[in-house]
Amino acid sequence: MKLEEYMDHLIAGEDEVCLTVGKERAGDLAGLHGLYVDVIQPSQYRVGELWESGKISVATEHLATATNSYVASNCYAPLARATTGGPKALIACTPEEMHELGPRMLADLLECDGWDVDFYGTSMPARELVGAIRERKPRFVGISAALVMHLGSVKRTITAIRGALGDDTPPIVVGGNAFRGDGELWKQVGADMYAADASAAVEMLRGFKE
Amino acid sequence: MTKTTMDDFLKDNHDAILVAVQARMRGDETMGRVATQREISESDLASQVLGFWLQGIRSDLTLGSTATMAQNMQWLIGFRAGHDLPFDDAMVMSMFDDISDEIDGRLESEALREEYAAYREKVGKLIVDAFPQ
Repeated sequence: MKLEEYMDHLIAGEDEVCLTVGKERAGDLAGLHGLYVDVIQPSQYRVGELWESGKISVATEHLATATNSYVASNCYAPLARATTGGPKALIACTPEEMHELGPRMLADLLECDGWDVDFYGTSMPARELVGAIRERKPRFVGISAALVMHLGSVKRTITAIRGALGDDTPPIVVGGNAFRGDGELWKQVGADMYAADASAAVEMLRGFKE
Repeated sequence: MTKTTMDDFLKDNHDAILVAVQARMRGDETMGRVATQREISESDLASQVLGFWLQGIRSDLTLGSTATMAQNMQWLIGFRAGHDLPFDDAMVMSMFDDISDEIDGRLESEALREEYAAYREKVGKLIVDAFPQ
């Protein structure tokens, strides 16, 4: 099924049709990567654009996001594996950021890759994040921002982490829609790395597992 | 003593600036028209819009660039067209001037005033460039 066709079902709120598409696509791990990167991520971007251009309502936008979240979680569940004892990763949304589907998909794919992921969801306060890093000692920290106006918050969070942990700061990777408009923005926020999608992030972070 | 930054200043003064600019804009005709079209009260709209601007300005001043407002401006143009909203470049510039006057009037350090003036000039140019004449 083409993306535009999936979009039609998504906008119509046909969650079971969307789930069927997802399950057909995500029969194995490679398929799950494809579903997340080639279907759910671009459809979320498209949903945002449709709202901005006045073609769908806020309600429809929320419904579509909830449906994509439903599809992702149901397609991930059969492929989930026990990861206790694996290398630790920590993923969170920057303070005030309420869009968590992107980093959630990254957490799913990292778990499938053998990482033991702590996913902290939306709007993680910087001070709490520092405490979590101290306690959980992750191999890397992932920070997500969907809205461009949250870029400053990402920088403040990274500054707080580096200020508190100094040389013990783990590598910091950033991602999310906020970074899409300018390929150099991740440097402005003080991150070590940037990945344009969850699948690319998994590949890039593999080197930190050992 | 820790040096105060624009980021600290905007964090500490966010609510006071928002309330003051909201008072300046009360009764603005364009704001009233947009509020009517969006079916929300004028004060709710002003609060949303000003919150959006202040967050963008603070983000930029934290980054030390105009990256946030440059992207926000492009978004605003698309949003205006998509939702057929009745505001123009003059209204956007007037709002930015109101916010900037309020910020400038509260800054106590000459260095911060200079930093903000340089930023204000760049964003002013972004606004002029973004809106087709």
